[in-house]
Amino acid sequence: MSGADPDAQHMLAFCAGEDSAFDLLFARWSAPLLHYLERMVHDAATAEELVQEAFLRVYRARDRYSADAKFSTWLYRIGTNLALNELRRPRRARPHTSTDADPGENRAPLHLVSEGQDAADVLDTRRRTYQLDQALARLPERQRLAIWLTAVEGMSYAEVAETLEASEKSVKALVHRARVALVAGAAVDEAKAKKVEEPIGCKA
Amino acid sequence: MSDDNNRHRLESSEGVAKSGIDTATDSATELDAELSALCDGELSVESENQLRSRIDGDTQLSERFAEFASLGAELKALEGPSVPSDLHARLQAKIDASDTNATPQPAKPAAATIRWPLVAAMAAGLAVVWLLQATLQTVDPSAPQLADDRAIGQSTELAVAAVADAPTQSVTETTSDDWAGDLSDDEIEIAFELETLLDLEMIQELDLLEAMFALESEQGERG
Repeated sequence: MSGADPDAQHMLAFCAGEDSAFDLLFARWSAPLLHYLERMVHDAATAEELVQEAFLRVYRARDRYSADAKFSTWLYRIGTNLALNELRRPRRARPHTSTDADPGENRAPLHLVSEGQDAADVLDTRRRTYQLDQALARLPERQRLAIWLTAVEGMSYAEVAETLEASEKSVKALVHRARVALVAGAAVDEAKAKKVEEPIGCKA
Repeated sequence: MSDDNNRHRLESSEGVAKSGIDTATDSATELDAELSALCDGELSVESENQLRSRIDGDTQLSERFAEFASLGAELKALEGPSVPSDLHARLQAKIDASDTNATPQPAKPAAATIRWPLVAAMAAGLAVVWLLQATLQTVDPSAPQLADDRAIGQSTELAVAAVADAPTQSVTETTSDDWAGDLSDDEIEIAFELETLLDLEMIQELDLLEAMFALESEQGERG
């Protein structure tokens, strides 16, 4: 497995005492892992802590690491378990999902619409993104994890199954349900938005 | 009888109809799941070819597939938090702290440094007290309580008190010019040691040493 996975090679190099290999792994995986964990816990600061904790565990595992699976699968499994533990903490406040909340909070700042773009198109895209964001946040945890790992991280069902400690059949069902829910949820939000936009007294 | 037959026929037909609906639903769900799997590249070549043929000939299926397929790109387009520039440094600090905690440290080095001289001084002091008795007995048989064997068996507190009293006499005795002639070599050594301890003001600290020794013993028992 390690032969085909350059990240596993880096990890093995780190295990052999090459500290710079650990820095390479951090540089390669911190951003996608942070994005993934932020989607799970809905809080950027908590996600940052979890990323640090995940890499700390990677660091500590240097004496017993064996490249049985892809490095990314292993790293995401660590991150997933940390995120699930975080979500199960009793004192954790549930994320506020008010529609008034800024969907781009803690994210890249909004840019002004360029002259070449139609403002209506840009707004449509932003609205669609926001609706998808909300629909994703409403998914059950495991569906959210499964669709993210598959559609965004590009993991195979087998890798997601290993990450979530589930069967491939379960992963297939989770991903499918998530897709159905996201399409339906976004469609419902879209319909609501259009209804709000309708001028008073007009009927479609 | 005919009613029974009719009812049976009706139930059978309802069962078939219901079963047909379930089968159709199951089949539709299964097909939907296959579309999802196709988006993820999880179908075998044969299954993929069959499904793509069906998609090509079915507008609804084609639209559904397009909906599923576009989700991946839309999810990837969702903006995430940027990695803070200091995240690596914060991680490194945690690693350093972790390494420090993992490295076995000598237990209370400062305490260890203090303990042995204290114990040694205490032992020396007590030894001096005990030996002093013999010395004083030789030098001055009329010396008070120190000559009394009971002093040895008494509490350390009494011994310390005795030591506090004894030096004045013993030093007076042992610093006289003729003490060397009257004392054995061992006694001379003891007397000299006592004088040295007095010079170092260690004898005066015996009560403090005793208190510290008792405290350490107590801590040891708790530990």
